[in-house]
Amino acid sequence: MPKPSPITAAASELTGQVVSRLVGLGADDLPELASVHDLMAQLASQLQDASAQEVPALGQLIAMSAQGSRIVEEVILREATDATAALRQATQTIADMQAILNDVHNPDTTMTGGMPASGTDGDTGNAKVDPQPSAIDANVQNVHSSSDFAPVQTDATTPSLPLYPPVTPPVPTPLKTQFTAETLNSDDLPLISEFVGEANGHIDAAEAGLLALEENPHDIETVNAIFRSFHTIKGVAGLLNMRQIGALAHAAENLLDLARKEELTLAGAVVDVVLQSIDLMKAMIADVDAATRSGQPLTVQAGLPGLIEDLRAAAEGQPPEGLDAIPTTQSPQGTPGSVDQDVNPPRVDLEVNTSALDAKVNSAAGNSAAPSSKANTSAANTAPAPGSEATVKVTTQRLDKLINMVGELVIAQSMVVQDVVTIATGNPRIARNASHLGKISRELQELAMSMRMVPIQGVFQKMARLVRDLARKATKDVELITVGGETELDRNVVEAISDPLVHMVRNSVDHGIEAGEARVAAGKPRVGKVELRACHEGGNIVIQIKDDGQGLRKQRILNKAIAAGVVKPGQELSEAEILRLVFHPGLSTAEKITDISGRGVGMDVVRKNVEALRGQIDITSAEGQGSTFTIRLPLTLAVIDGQIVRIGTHRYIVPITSIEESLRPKANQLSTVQGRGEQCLLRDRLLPLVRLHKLFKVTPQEQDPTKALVVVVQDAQRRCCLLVDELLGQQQVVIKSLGEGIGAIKGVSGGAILGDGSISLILDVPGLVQLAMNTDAV
Amino acid sequence: MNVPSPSTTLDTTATRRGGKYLTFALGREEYGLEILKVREIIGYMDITAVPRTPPYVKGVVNLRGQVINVIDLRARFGLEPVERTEQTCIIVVEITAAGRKLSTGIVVDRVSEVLNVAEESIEDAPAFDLSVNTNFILGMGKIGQSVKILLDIDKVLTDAEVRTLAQAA
Repeated sequence: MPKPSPITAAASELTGQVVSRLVGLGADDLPELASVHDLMAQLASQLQDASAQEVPALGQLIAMSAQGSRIVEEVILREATDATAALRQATQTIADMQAILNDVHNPDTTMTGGMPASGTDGDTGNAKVDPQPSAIDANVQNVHSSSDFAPVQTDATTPSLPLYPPVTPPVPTPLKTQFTAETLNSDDLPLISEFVGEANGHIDAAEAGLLALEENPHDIETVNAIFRSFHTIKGVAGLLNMRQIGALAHAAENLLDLARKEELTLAGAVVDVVLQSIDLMKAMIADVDAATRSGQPLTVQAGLPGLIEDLRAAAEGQPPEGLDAIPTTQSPQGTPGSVDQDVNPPRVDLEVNTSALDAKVNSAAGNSAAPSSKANTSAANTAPAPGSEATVKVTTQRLDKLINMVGELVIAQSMVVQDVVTIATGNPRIARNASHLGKISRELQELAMSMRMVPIQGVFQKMARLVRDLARKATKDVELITVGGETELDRNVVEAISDPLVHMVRNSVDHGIEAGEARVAAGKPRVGKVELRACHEGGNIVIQIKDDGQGLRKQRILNKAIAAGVVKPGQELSEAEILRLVFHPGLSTAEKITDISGRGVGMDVVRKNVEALRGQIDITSAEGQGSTFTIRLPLTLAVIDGQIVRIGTHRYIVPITSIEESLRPKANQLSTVQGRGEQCLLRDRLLPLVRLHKLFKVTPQEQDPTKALVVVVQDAQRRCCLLVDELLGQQQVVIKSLGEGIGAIKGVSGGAILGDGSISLILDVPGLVQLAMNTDAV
Repeated sequence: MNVPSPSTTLDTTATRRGGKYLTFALGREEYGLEILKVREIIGYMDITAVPRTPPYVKGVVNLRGQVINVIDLRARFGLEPVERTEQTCIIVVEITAAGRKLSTGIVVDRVSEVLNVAEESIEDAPAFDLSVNTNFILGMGKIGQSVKILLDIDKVLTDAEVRTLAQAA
């Protein structure tokens, strides 16, 4: 009997990796194909180094490896006629190699075990044709639960394994579990929609937990929480007969269970797989959600079997991505030796799977010693849900209604109080009660408003994930620091700000932060830093995205702008104005400037989104030192501080945030261009004078600006003077849409109900400025 | 098609037109609105004009905290404007536009009564010359000697064709 050699062991492991990565691999995933190809080259070179004594059937193995390698090459070069079939063939070839290697490697299988062929071999062959969905469950279960695994596999794998614990993990079975399209039971629909909401919550929590774990991998509480999330999803999915979700949750849960028992550290590649599961889970939940509405059967997720396989591989300590498996925290004790030694509880191996396999050994030997009971603690003992404040879910529709009613109540209250106080003047009791009522109403309104507020943390979590993924893809080291995640803002704002933030964070990581070498060369720490900050500042929410990357290259932006005709040559621009050019649609969407400026992909879209929220965006940037983008948003979309102005008999509300000053101009400050374009000279700045009454076609009380007032308003870049008759007062107003019957009107952003019950229009300053510039109505 | 019993049918489909109608007047013309579309009738109140809207949009009013827009039906149909009287009022209707329910006020000269119009006394609108758009007319209800123009109010308020017609008028 040839002595089993390390070379066969290593080769066997390599084949295992190749197979696991080939399974479910798409023909157009070139990077992954390339890395598989690399692995195969490694395998070939190992085989070349081996001698015929060490490895029987060496010639055959080398030929097979060459064949597999060639097929993958063909697929990469797009020479294969049927890429999928070719990949399947490659997988089969490598799997066969593994079978041979295992036979060579474990020649004593037949003697100690009950099965003639190695279990891995059997699995490889059988599972491919075995479409039973339960096969996955059974397999994964075996890894950690000794009580219910099939004896067949134990026999096949265990006896030989202890000899080489670190190198011969069970082959990741290329299980192609077939999931059929499932149709939701219409009786379950209410349950299902509840499940969708809950599952999303769980998934979000799990994702946040995972990212937190990357910072602190040994926080067992977090691991437990993630585990519970998947466990709950699995339970409910099982109840509702959603097999795909159940299978995925189950596989993920098994992996996490190992982590819970500290047999596996959640880091690196393992986290990647779990994150992938989270992504797929999200997709499937969204699919379920869509299906509840459309009544269509659920989509069969093509990537699911592969992912489950990856999860299983990860649970068995096989890096699914070809990255090194993360060893457990416990250090290896003792050298691999006999079966007896393995039964000893203290012996824990580097590889995750071995401790699980210990359990198998025990059970196979009819031995219910300590390790098996440890491995037995599977899904059964999941802890109850984490303690949290009791909450009631309310639909936003109801909430909006409540807020509306409360707003109405406040108005009615103020009207009543006014009347009562005028009628009953001099009655202190009534005055006191009226003011008490006013106080309660205001508090009620504040409370109602606060119900719409949610912390921005959720968005920040998304960004954390994004930064992680982007940095990986670009092979940069980027650290994301978030500050002020507890800052609360209106739910609608949170939703609307998410996309612009994604855009800007992506810009920061992709273009702002340099590659590691460049950073070191520039004397900066290798790890780039992106900082997300949120805080309240004077009735606004300020969100800042700050990176310590290369910054914006002003000269190049300027050159580009001149070339594009946005800026005239010789035009003097301040630094801030140059930076703001990245928001110019003509520049920011152009591919070319993106490359040179290192910034500005779709920044005009970002600006539009922010402005749609009545916010502002500013940039500061120092070349070589990084950039800071500051977004200022109103606290809520529902309420603004408004200045009420009067024009003739009409009252309008100007958002206070956009007012710079108000004044009565003197005759010498006013001038005209060609008799029409009126302007006002204000501290050396010439501002266009906008006759609002002309834009709105109403009759003003005063035509002469020197007898009326001008309100200087600004949007992001431009200022202008609005001519009004009178300033009436300031108050907080609840913004109401003018209704779909009217739609969007340039210059008017909505309406507000004033204290007397009448409606006043809220002016949309950016729109007005645009109107004033484009039309000749000034 | 089934001929439904008039009292139960309030469907908007062209074939099921019998039912209760709220009738109102614009000048000397009498119109009818399906009663189920009517939310309430309110007296004329101050309407906040909204600039840069078509001429038939009177503006917006505050209906117990809800901002609703108000359409001047006269302007919509290209009729001469008249002085507001004590009888001028706003009918708040709930229409379905783009799949969403939406309240809109319409200014009418005078609200008359609620009438039961039997299916068999409803006739299709006769063909007029091109200047009269009959798309938004459900039918002509004959009540005794008078004729009520039964409106498909959803179409009146959302039909782009009507809109352009009104703008042209």
